[in-house]
Amino acid sequence: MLNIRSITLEDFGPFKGTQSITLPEDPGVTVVFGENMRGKTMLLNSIRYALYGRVLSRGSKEISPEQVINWESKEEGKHSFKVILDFEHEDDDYELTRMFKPRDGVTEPVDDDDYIEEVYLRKNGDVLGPDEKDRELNRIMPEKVSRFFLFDGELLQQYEELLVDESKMGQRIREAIERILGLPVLTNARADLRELLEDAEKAESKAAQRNQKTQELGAQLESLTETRSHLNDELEELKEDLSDLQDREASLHEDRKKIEAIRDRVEEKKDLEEEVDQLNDDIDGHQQRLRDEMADAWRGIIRNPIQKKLEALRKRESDLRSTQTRIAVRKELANRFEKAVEGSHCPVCEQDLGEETESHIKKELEDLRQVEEQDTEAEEEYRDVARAISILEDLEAPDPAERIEGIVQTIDRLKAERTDKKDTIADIENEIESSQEDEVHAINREYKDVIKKIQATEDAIEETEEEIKEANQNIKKLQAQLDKESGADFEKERERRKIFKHLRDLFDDGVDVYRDKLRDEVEEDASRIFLDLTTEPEYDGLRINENYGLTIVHEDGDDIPVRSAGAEHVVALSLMGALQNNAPLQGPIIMDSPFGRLDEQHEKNVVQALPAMTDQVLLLVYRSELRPEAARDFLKGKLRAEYSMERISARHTDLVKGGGDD
Amino acid sequence: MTDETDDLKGTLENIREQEYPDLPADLVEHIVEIEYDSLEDRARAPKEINKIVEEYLGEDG
Repeated sequence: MLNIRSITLEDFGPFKGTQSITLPEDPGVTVVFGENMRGKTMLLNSIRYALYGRVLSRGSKEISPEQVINWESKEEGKHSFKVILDFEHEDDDYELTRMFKPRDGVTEPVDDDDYIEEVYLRKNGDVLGPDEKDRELNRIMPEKVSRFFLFDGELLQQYEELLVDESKMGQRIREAIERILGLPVLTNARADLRELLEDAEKAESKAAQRNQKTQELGAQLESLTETRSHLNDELEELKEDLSDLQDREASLHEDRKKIEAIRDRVEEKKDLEEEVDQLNDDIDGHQQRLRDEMADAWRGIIRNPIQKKLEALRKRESDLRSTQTRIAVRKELANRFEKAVEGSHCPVCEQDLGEETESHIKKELEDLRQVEEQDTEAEEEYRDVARAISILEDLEAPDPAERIEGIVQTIDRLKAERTDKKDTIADIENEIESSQEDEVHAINREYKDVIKKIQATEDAIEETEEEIKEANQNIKKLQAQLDKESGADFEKERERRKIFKHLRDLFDDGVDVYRDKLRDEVEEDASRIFLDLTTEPEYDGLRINENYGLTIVHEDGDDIPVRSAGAEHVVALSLMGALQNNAPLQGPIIMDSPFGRLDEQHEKNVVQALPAMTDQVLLLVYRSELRPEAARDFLKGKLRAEYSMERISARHTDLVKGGGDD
Repeated sequence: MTDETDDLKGTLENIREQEYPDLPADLVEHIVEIEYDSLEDRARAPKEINKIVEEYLGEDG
């Protein structure tokens, strides 16, 4: 079991200079009282940093280590910090030191590249090599399960991930939990026995080839086992690739969640830019129409004069039309008079003309000839007027002013819309730096790429598994045939093969049975702890899913589908307690702001339950969250030490032993 | 180690008794112990398991 002895901080966050907390040897609870912004989360982070080299802010966003250096020390010229974790695990003594400092030769670091991180682990006084250090830390406290030991009351969504069966993050956490519950012993054995079985099968096939009767069978068997061996290696590689890809997907999924707000704004900006492009096209289109309309706009200017002139001309034409009629009648009369005089014969009444009549007709004809000139002028005028009307009608056009005004209004509206959208784009660009935007695009691109690769790898795995299945069936047939042949040559290999097969099958079954058993035990323990913590009498316990996610069960047997942050607290604590009970990997529970969402009774239940969950508990609370008197009352003899975070300045906090009271 | 592997051994023994009674119980327990001790040195386990199976086959006949 991991047991922390002390945490020493040097210029880490608000903890200026060298400060430390010593945790008592006896099992129990240490409480650190600190008001808001005094450094409780940074104290939790110091342990996370020592073990994993990471510091998280609210929302689990990683903070650059450069920002962790105590500000006042930095002003005084000190650009480094250090955390030393002194702990014991399985009777071995460890001292883990992780520091962040400027590179050699750098006196005034400017950015992250000017810094270097050093970490070393002493085990029983000896410094371990880098690979051994990593293996040791991964064995003692793997990062993937750290959420069950380093509890941040503000990050409950980490536990909600477990509720979703298909969640990739949930699957990763499940694998990590199973690792700490001891399942790897079985899964490793299964893998090793599979390898040994393959070797035994190959040996059997080689032995069979030494016998003339079974030579052919042996050769076929060897070839098949060789093929299957390659397929198994291929499958192993594909599964490793898939695991890496799924880890990457889970990590990118987390990154996408963290940048969700920025991502939404970047998408919004992209949509707006497309809309602006469309508006530009529309405005161009309308402006072209306007130009076309304006090319003929001069017609509108002369429209009125033309209309007035046309009116006058049409009136004149109408007047002249009557004259034209009279002229036509006169011409016709003149023609007839001429014919009558020429032939001395009336074409109308068909009678010869008498002298008097003829003389009268001649007189009329003369009168008619006298007005002929006027008639000719009138005809010419009529033709001129008609021509003028035709010309002016061609020039006459509908008034374009209305259309032009309509187009101009549309252009103004589109421009105003474009301006609004451009303003919004500018606002977004002010909010997000171009580097953030680039980051969003890069993450989105990589995420899509990884999803595609996962699908391709899963398809390849399915195909390979089918091929292995077929190979196994064929091998089984050949082995059955071989089994019918007796021969001392390969009897021993046959026996070896059979025993490895049974062992492999046994451990295979064992993995499934043990996994189910573990889950049942975790469920039982988590339920029991939950019922001790909850104040709701109608709750019956907890139900566990594939990923060790827990749902609350009502006494009527139904799941409680939605739960509050307070309930999430209690369920998460129940899981932590259950894992501590069942895992060969056990350690302290360090809790930051664990009671923010809990009422007084729940708080009391949780505090009283903590010493039973694990040997070492470190509580980081503010006084109104858990009053010192209440802590002493709830914990009684299990309260081993109290510390207080004292404000020296806005950027300097001192850790003081005792001091739980104001 | 005894506490931590007892549970595993118990589970396997139940299955062995029912499904694979021809497998010797102590062989199975020994494999569990080898794997537990080899968690940090994976290459070691197959060699050790092979050795104890050979010993068993040698004794058996």
